[in-house]
Order: sequence, then C-alpha cells, then structure tokens
Amino acid sequence: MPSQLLQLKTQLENDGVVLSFSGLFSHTILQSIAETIENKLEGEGIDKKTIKNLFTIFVEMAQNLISYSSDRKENESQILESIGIILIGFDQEKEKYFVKSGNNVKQEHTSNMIDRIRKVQSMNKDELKEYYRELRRSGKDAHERGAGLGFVEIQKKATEPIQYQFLEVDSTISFFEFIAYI
Amino acid sequence: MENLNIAATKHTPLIQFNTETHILEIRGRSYPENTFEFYEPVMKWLKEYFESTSNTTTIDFEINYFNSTSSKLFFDMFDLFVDAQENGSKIVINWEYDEEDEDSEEAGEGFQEDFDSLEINLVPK
Repeated sequence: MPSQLLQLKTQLENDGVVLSFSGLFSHTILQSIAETIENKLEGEGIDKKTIKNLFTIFVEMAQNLISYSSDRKENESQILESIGIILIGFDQEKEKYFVKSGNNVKQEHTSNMIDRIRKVQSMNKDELKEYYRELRRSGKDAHERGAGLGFVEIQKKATEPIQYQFLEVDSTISFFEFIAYI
Repeated sequence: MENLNIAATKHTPLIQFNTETHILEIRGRSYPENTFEFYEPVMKWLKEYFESTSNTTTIDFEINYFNSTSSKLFFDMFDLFVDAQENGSKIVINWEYDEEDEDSEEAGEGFQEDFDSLEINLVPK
C-alpha cells in the first residue's frame, strides 16, 4: 500500500516547504513557529532583514487566521483557536521565501477582504507607508482584536503583490488562500 | 501610587513604570495573543499616573519587534501622552532602536511625524 503520509511529505518538500502546520491553530503555536523561523534561518546565515520580514509576514498572517477564521472558537481559557493551514518555504524558481495560509471565512466578509487586499496590492512602498499611518490614525478598520492593518503590513514587507483566492466550500463558507513572497 | 512592573515574555515586552524616578520603560517584543487586552491595565495606569504627577516624565521605548495591532496601541498611547501634555505634564520620549534596523528607525520617525507636539528623540544603539 503506498504511504499517503510519505506522499504528502514528499510533495511538501518538492514545493520547497520547510515548515508546515495544519489543524487547530492558536497563539501558542504561532509563537513556537515564529521562534523556529528565527532560530533556523539565523543558523543558516540568511540576512537579518529577510528574516525579520518573513517573521513579520508570518505573525500577521497567523494572527489573521486566528482572528478571522469562520471556525474560530474560544477554548476554556478564553484563548482563540482556529482551524487552518500555514506553509513556510523557499520557492526555487522565484528564489524567494514564501508564507502561505489557508482558512475558511464567511462569504459575507469576502467582498470587504477583496477590496482591502486589492487596494494594497497596487501600492508602492511609499504609498503603503502613508496608507498604514492613515489607517492607524483613523482606526477605520479597527475591531475588538486588531487594528485592521494586517494586509498593509504584509504588502509592505512582501517583494511582489500578495496573492489570494477564495474557493467556495458551501453556500455560506469559502476557503481563503493567501500567499506572500519575500 | 504603586509602580507598575510586568515581566517580559517572548511575545510581550518588559514594562517598568517607576513613580519615584518618573521613568517609564517598555522594552522587548510586542505581539500578544490579544493586544488590547494585554495593554488595558497599562493604559489605565498611565491615565492615573499623569493625573497625579507634575514632574517631568521620561518614557523609554525599546521595541525590536511589534505587530500591526501593537503599532495601533502605541499610537493610542502617544495620544494619551499628548492629552497629558496638554494638561500640564512634561514628557520626554526616547525611541531607542538598533542602528542596523531600518524598520524600527522608520517606526520612530513615523511617530515623530504623527505627534509633532511631543518631544520624541530617536536614539540609535
């Protein structure tokens, strides 16, 4: 019988994935992966700025996943847990690091998310810097857990326009896939 | 008024507010599980402190990483400093950063531009 697990592992390795997580995600896991990114990459002699940008993008994406996933639930210690997948790796063709995340979202939120992502995709670094400060000042997109600055911060640190897609799961839920290259 | 001491963790900064020296320090990293909840007692302490002091207060920030929600929180904290200053408090802010870290320098410059009524010194280390 062919091993499905081995197949999955080989597939991830072929895609350049160095760290992957799929399942119930929380801040504790975020923290462990963030530390692993730093320790592993520092050991490999990658420049500090790239590590920091990768770290920043990972934290923002992971916090988005935790806060916005339609599966999120508070556990008995009031800690949010959400189901999702996160991959971190190096794309050999592009010669760039990537962070990919995926989680379910309510379809009622997708148009607002698309508007916000499209807006930052087309901005240059100076425009992003300005927009970040404008949003921070106005608190326009702020909510109880965040400042609504995540997409801007991710695009600021990415080296090309962030990529996304929504895949319909059922009549109310879509799977949100999000990719940033560093 | 009691001093405020919160030990650093890997994702939250050291917070040391001393009512005798009038030095308030925030040092470390900031990406808490729930940022607004984590800083709520800090903001509350600051409000009470500025109502009770007429001394010059020095605030040292040395934050080598903060997420976007913490950035918003610091913005709100600077707003609180502006209010305190308008009510007569004297405030000096030192934004300490690693010389090699452009992001951290840029963050300090951003606060300087957004809060031109405050004395914010950029201190490379």
